[in-house]
Amino acid sequence: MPSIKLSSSDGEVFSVEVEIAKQSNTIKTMLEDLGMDEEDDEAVPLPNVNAAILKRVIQWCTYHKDDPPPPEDDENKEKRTDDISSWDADFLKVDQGTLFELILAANYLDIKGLLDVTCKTVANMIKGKSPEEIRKTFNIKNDFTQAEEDQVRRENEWCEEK
Amino acid sequence: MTRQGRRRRGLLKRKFKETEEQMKEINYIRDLHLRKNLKDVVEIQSCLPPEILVKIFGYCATNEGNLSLFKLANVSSGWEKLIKSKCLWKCVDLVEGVENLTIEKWKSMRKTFVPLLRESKKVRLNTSIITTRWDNFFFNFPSVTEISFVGTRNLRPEVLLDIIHSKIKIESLNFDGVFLSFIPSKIIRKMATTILPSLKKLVLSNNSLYITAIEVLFKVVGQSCEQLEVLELENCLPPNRIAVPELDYSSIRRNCRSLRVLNFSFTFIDPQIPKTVYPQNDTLDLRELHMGSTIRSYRRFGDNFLLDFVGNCKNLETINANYLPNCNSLHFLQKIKAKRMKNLYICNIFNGKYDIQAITSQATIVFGRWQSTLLTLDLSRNIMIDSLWLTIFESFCKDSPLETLYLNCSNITTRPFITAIKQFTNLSYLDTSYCTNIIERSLRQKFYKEDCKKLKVNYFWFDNPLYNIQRNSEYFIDII
Repeated sequence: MPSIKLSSSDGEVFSVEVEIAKQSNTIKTMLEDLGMDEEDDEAVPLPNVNAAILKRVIQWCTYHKDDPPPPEDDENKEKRTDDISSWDADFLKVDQGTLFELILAANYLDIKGLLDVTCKTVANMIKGKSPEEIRKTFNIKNDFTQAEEDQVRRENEWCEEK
Repeated sequence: MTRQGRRRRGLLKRKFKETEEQMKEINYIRDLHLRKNLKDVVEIQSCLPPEILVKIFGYCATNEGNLSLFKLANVSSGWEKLIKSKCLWKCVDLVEGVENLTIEKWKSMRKTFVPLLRESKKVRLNTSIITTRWDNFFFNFPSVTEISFVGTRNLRPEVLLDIIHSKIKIESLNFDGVFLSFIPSKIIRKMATTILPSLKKLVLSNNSLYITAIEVLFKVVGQSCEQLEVLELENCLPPNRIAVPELDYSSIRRNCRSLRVLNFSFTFIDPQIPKTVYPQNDTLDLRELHMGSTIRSYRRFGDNFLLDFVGNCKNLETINANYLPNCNSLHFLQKIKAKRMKNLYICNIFNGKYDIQAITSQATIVFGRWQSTLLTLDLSRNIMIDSLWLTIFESFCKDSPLETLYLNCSNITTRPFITAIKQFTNLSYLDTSYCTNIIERSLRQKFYKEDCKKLKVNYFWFDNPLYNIQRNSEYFIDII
């Protein structure tokens, strides 16, 4: 099984099977553009991803290596947020900071499946919460002035009552 | 290191230098923010780029509807700006959350809301939003091309007139099972003469239409709907039908160059066999044809109609010919020119009276030809002798990609059944319910495995020559 080396931002090097690494479109394009082959010993630098996150990303990719390629974003298809598999749900039981870093890593490495599932997880954290609860959950400062807030609330108040 | 290797390394470095610099800046801003807060908690908006947040908001709008986004606007001014991103309003779902929307509330939010809809392309609606709050409803969506009412009920057919009058350039209408009662023929006629010729997709399935209305639709589709891609008229006739709408299929075959999906299952039709023989250069290029329970008399139309109509569609991938009455033949499948059939539904076409030799050779040819492409095969409700079941399954190659197999209510016995599960290693759905000739009760089930993608048929144990299948406690499939 051919493998390549990936180097995290803090210099740790991971050896990964090419097939697994290719779930990242960024790495895949790079391998194709530059025609990397197995003899290459040098590690691919990934300056945006630290070792802890890269380790998790590799873990995710290893588990999902046999998945069919994710479908292109099809607007006709109804999107769902409750279709997270139990393995993914367990995998994403992490603190918010890690979750956001995973999103950033998935975005940078262009791993669609991971990006989708992490974004869905955040969406599920938002759903069904009041604005105040959302602010608390994500540590968001309410930056509306009193007057602005009154106005925004007046405009949108109908959707808060249930 | 070779020279080439060095060159590559240089390229790599250059490629990543740029992102590195960008990253430094982002990290710096993030650190600054963290220090400012003097806490180790991350703030979502400074942490995630706007396009990701918009993606997340998009997921929030699914299931809960676009109106729920206004709640998110109350969180912070940053979020308020983001929910006005155009891409969140390209597809608008106004089904959820409208129950709470009184007229006063609607007036108060109208100013923010309506401008967001100016570039909306697709919209999902339900009955309540149409009936209560909006005057000239469709004028609020000047760019909309797709309207769907799927999931709602009791819609007044006059909505169709509203859409026609609004003069929006509509391309796709989905009214699957939504109307209160019969759609008046007058409205259908009006639609057929105004917007139908420019439509790409029309779904009127599961509504009641008069026979004349269906005939008008068929006529206009055959004459002037060159852009139409999807036409679904499933289950459109009232239950106590006596007459059946006529279909001049030769005009559809001649003119509908864009048609890909045609569905009139459970809507009986009376195909009009053309009087003159027309040239062979067809323009019809269907992908899917659903005509289960559509033809009343196989003897009168059967093969001829099917072959005449879709025999030349080389790209046909799905054919639903369920309930072809007294068909007892695979001749039509043998003659169809489609090369890569993926889904084949031939439920209840055999009732036991057939020429066994002819049919065996037909089965070998048909399934041998499509063995490497078929994904779904519906053989339910068929009465065939064992050897024919075996012939069908043995026509497939060993690594056939078949995923779904329906055998329910058929007379299949244990032996061919076991051949099938040994043959189809990629099965993920298998329905053998009500197969009373399979003696082992545990096998008369639907087998369905979602998580592990593949039904692990290899884990059945076949150690008993009488095919008493034993349970392997460790691996036996969970039966749902």
